[in-house]
Amino acid sequence: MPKKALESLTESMFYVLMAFRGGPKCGIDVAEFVEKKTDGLCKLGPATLYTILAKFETEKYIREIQVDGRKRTYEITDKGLVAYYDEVARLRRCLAHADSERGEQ
Amino acid sequence: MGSEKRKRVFKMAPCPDYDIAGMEQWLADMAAQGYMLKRFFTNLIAVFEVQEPQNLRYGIATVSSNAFLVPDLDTSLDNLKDYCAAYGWNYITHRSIFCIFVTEDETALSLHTDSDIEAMTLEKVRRERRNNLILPIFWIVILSVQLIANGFWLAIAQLGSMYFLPLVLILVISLSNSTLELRHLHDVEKAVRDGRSITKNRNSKAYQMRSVLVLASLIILLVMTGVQYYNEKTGNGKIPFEHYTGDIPTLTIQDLVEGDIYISTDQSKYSNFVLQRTDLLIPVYIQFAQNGAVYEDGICQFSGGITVEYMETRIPWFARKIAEDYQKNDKNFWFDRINRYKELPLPDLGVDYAAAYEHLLPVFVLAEGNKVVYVYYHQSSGGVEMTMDEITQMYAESLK
Repeated sequence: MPKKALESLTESMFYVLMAFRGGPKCGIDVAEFVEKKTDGLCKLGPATLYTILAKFETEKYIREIQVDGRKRTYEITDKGLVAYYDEVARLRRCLAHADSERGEQ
Repeated sequence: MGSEKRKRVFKMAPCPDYDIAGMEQWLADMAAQGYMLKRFFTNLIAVFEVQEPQNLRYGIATVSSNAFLVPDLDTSLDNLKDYCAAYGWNYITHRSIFCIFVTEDETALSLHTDSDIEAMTLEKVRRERRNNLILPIFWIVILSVQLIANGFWLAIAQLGSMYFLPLVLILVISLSNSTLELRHLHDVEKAVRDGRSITKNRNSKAYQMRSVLVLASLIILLVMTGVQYYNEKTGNGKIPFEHYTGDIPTLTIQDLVEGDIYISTDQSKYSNFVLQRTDLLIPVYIQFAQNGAVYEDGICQFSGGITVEYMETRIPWFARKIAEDYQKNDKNFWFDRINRYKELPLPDLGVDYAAAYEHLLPVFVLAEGNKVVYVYYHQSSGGVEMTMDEITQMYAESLK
């Protein structure tokens, strides 16, 4: 039986995929990107970052492309892009629902 | 300077490794009292160095077990260390797969900033630990079924109640503790996911006592198994029949066949021996084997051997159960296709339980009151033929 993919992305996971969508990055670059993008509202603790990267690598959402000493650089895969766009679509639907609810009131 | 030797203190962890919040708080409290964590000895004992009290923050994160088993192949611990170092967290040691970090920086970003991700790591730990339990449970069930089907009471008698009962107790304690931990781990995981703290409800004394009990049980089990294996291998406890000076409370070859000389044939160190022990449920247990020949007036009356297991149990019911199990065990012997178990007729012996059968050799088992005797014998030559009827009658009389 194929391994079940991630059912949903947490906010941190979503931003990590967003970071990789912009190009290959190492873990610390990802954390900096997320903090900057969210104006510090979403910060990735090192254990959280490590776990997400490990999980994404297992799920083949990202792959390691370069190892420079102990610095590892990853890039997003097609599967990771699909997961990212699916999540964007889901969030857009949520927003649309919220907007339509506001219009009815 | 750094060369000065600092005092080391050993403390038992007050909570399991997966209780991340509990562990972090305990280590910070210890540091505030001047005890700095250095390493873990087993999964239970923390080794601290006595220093000036400090306000430190501790953080815990997991890596895969391969990071410790094959560090050359799995560099995940190095990755984690690097990420944590970038945020001001320094690696100290690990407790199972839980890596412990420390920082003096009060403003350093927490190791975990996403409770769902933290819960996900705990879920992985729970699944791994649950899977690790499946195989032992499978074997315990198989062995228990086998034991019950082929002689539960006999197993107690032969292993010795002082071995068997603690063995069962240890297995029950270990399994129930593992099950309890899995349930607790599930609760911790749920609490982390919901952003709740369960540390307040932690009963550290109960956890420590349970851990000590399990650890002590496992040590006892290992020692007992080692002793049992050693005894089995070396024949320790078995005394050569000729050297045995105690009473044998049942019949020997000399009692069965009249003669003036008995000569034993020592084919191996197991062919002529006596093994005696006492037990809580079986105060008298004696097993002996004799292989030899009885002569009268220089004529061989009997040449062959007997192996006897004789027991006096605390209660008669137990003796009968053991006798039934002897027969059941031989009947269900896995080598049965070659063994060809075949029951043999017996006269009325006037005892509580009597059975005779072929099981490679002629065998009989008798129980009367609290006594049970299990005998198999063979005769290769001799003037006196030992028939099953005669020999069982003699043993039946000796039991009364």
